[in-house]
Parts: sequence; C-alpha cells; structure tokens
Amino acid sequence: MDSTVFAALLQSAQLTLAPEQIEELSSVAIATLSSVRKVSEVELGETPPQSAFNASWE
Amino acid sequence: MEPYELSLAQASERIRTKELSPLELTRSALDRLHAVEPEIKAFAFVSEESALSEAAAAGEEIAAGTYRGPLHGIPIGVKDLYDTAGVPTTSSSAVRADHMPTTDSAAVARLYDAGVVVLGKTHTHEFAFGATTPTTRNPWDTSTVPGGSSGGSGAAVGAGVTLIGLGSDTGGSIRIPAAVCGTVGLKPTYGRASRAGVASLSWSLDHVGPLTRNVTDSAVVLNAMAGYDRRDPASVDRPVPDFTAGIEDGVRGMRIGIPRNFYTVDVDPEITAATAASAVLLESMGAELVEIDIPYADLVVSTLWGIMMPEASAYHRDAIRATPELYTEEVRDLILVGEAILATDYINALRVRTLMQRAWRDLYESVDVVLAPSVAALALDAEDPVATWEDGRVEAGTSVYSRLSGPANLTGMPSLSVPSGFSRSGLPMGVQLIGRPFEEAVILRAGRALERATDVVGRIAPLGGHTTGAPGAVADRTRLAAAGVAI
Repeated sequence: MDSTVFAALLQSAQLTLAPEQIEELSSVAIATLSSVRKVSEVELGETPPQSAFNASWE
Repeated sequence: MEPYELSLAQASERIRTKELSPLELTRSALDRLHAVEPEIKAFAFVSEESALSEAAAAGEEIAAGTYRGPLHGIPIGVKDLYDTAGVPTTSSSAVRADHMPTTDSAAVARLYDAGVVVLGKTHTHEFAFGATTPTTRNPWDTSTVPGGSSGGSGAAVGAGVTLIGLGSDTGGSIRIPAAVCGTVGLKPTYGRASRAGVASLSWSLDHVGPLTRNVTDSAVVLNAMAGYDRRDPASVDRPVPDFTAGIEDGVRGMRIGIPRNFYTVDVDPEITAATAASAVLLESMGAELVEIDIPYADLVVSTLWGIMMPEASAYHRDAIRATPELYTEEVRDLILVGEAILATDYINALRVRTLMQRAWRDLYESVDVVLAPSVAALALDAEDPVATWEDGRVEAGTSVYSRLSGPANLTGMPSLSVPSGFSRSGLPMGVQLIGRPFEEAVILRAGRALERATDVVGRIAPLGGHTTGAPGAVADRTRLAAAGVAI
C-alpha cells in the first residue's frame, strides 16, 4: 500500500482532502491500514462475524 | 479526617446514621475540587449549584426517614460522554460545545435513582478517541498525563475530589486512568450496563463502568448501574446479582492465569515486577497460579483497531465533513484514516473476534481469572506522551496504554484494575483481573483480596494540601521483597 492507494480510498469515501494533508496523513494511514489488513490474512473458513442484532420488539 | 477523605463505605455509613449529611460531604468535595482543580483540570463543567441542591434534597429525604442505600448523598463525577439533562455534555470537543441534553443517560438516571449527587462532568480524551486526555493532569505528578480516555474521572477520584467517577471503556478507557491515577476501575461484561445516552466511540466495543477508590465501592456502583435496557442493543437480559456478596471470601482455590506472552512484551520493568508481586500475594492467600498463553496475541491490536476505527468513522461521518476544523488534529486524523478501512477488513476483524472469543473460552477451562498489568507504562510526560523502549523504539501514548486492554474489550469479558504499587518515582501502577463473562463477582473477590493484602489501594494523591499519598518507594520495595520479587 502507498499514498496513492490511500488517496484513492479517501476519494472513494467522498472525502476531499488537500494533497498536502493526504501526504501528512499517509505514513500513519499506511501503517494503520496494513496492520488492520492482517485480519484478512487469517484463515477464517465459515467463521461468522461477532455482530449483534436482536429481532425482538420487547 | 475531612469528609472527602472517607471511602464510599465510610461515608455511606455516616450518612445512614446521620453523623454526616450529604451537604457536608458535598461541600467538602467541592472544597477539595477548588483546591486541586487548578492543577489537574479534571472537570469540563462543575455543577456546583445543582450539586448543593441535590445534596440538600438528599439530606432532607434521609432526615424524613427515606434512605435509598449506599449511594444516597454520595458525590460523583460523570464523564463528559454521558448525557446529563440540563448540563452541558461536550465529549470534551468543540464539535459538541453547544450540546445540552434534555434527558439523562441510562447510567446517570439509575445512579440518580440510587441517590447520588452529581458534582460535574469530567474530561474525556476528545470523543474518547485516545488514552491520554490532554486537557487534564495526573494528580500524582501534574507534569504527567492521567491516562484516558476517562482521564478526568481518574484524576478526580485519584485526587480525592469525588468518591466515584463514571468512565467508558472501548480499548481500556476505564482501566487505563484507574491504573495511572491510582484508583480502582471496573469494566463490566459487555452488555451488563446500559450505554444508552453515552456518546459512542465504537458500538461493538464500548462499555460503561465506574472508577472508585476501592474495590468494594466499584461493586456498590455496579449494583446500581447493571441491568437490562432495550435501548442499548448490546444490553443483556439476565439477572443482576449483588456484586458485594461474597466479596470478602478470598481467593483460596482460585486458579489465576499468569500470561507468558502478550502482557510480558514492552512493559515497564517496575510494572512487570509489581504484577509478579501481586501474583505471589494471591498465591500466598491460597490461589493456584497457572501459566497460560494468550491466544491470537499477534492479532489483538489489528482486530481492536479494525473494529474501532471504522465504527468511529461511521459515527463521525457527518461531523467530519461539516466541521472538520472543530476536531483536534489527532482525533480528526484517526477518523479520516478510519474512512479508508475496507468493509471486508472490518467484517473480518469481527470474524477474528469470534475466533478469539472461542479461544478465550477454552483458556478458561484451566483458570478462573487472568492476572495481567493494566497498562504497559507509568504516567507519561504530558508534553510528550510517548514511551521509549530499551531498544530505542518510541511508542505513542494511546498505543502504550490501550495495547494491554484490548483482549477484554474484544472478548467482552469483565476486567477490574486494582492498584498494585507505586514506582520508585512515586507513580501509581495497576494490575487487571480478567474474568469469565458475567463473573464480575469473581474478579471483585480477587481484587478485594489483593486490596486487603496491600497498603496501596484507596490513597489520595498528595496535592492541594493533602499530605498522605503513596507509601513511598522504599516501602514499596520492601513489600515487593517480602513477596519474593526482585526489582
């Protein structure tokens, strides 16, 4: 991942940042996004997500 | 002894027997607040007039024969994330500068029902998104941070202003300031206490709970805060026990898990030594120590931030576009980066969380409680809140403080931070006791046993004319040596 990819992701999120702001954020962003990406490198098989939904109306 | 110096149990008993009025206690707390607040800046808003009015009303009610229980007439500080009707609730952010709730959050409403007096709103790291609370200082050394994000509550309780501070904990934000400010902090099981009316950082990781001067006080507060609330989608409809029941029963036969990994890496040596001393103390009281390996240790930080950041960014999506200039740079950057996390990574973080929960459940077949340091570093320099490790690596304050908290947030398991000692420089240290889901009573029992065996819990920082404080490095080294731990 590099700053170009980060800029593209922000654009996809419809966030308009000045080029210098993207540049400033890039190193932290790349480190964070790379760290988070580790969860998608795990063999997850049929493991469901831990997400909560309660269909009850009570 | 001034009224503000009393523990909750002592103050309650005096109020119940009418030796002390809520008004006297509240005035004493306000005097203490005025003495230390210029140095610690724990409060975002002090509601002095309404506090005195609430205290007077509590006194009249008690005089008329209606005593509501151990929280009646007790002054508390409420983290500025919790809605409080008619009291500014800013999340310590310019973004919410004008936010004036019309109703109380569920937790505040429950505590009002129990009779508390709200002294004011305590500072949070902006929107709870950080672990240093830059607005506030640590009462044990005002050149250092109080931890966070519930740093105002930690500072207020540690300085002896309030007997109780409310906190929220998404990545350690109750346990971190508790450890760094020398108080007890209880993160209950996910779903145990309602978060309705509390600004969210991350819906699937947020917890609410108390910071208090001792373990029993936390149990008393949880008795009032716990219970089902349909307005909070995480709230769990199950019976609420009396958390003070059995709290004096000790740890004989309890199996205490001692981690061999994760909680042993990049931790201040004095904190490691104090944690080892706590283990030895528990063993000396009849507990069995069991060495364990923390599962998925290499994925804790990735999973925690992989969930927390996109949820926070979703919460702030409109405001970050409308008024980005009103956020502090640190929090604005985190929210912006969170927008770039892919939905698939977020969902996979939730799936890894499932694996972690299963592995921790298996782990608890051999232990009843896990003992670990609450945070990896002592109170950090407020001007430059970073830790520098032996090999020269520098770690940012929020990372240093939240790293060891993650497992209990991801698994939802209850965790109690209890003071474990003071460093040679006089700064507080804490250990956390992590229990099975909904077994808060077990960690409270273990915490109470540790508290009884030491002289470090319940101390008020020596600030604003208060003269007692830490037992001192010499006394602490003596205690560690007595426990067979070399430092």
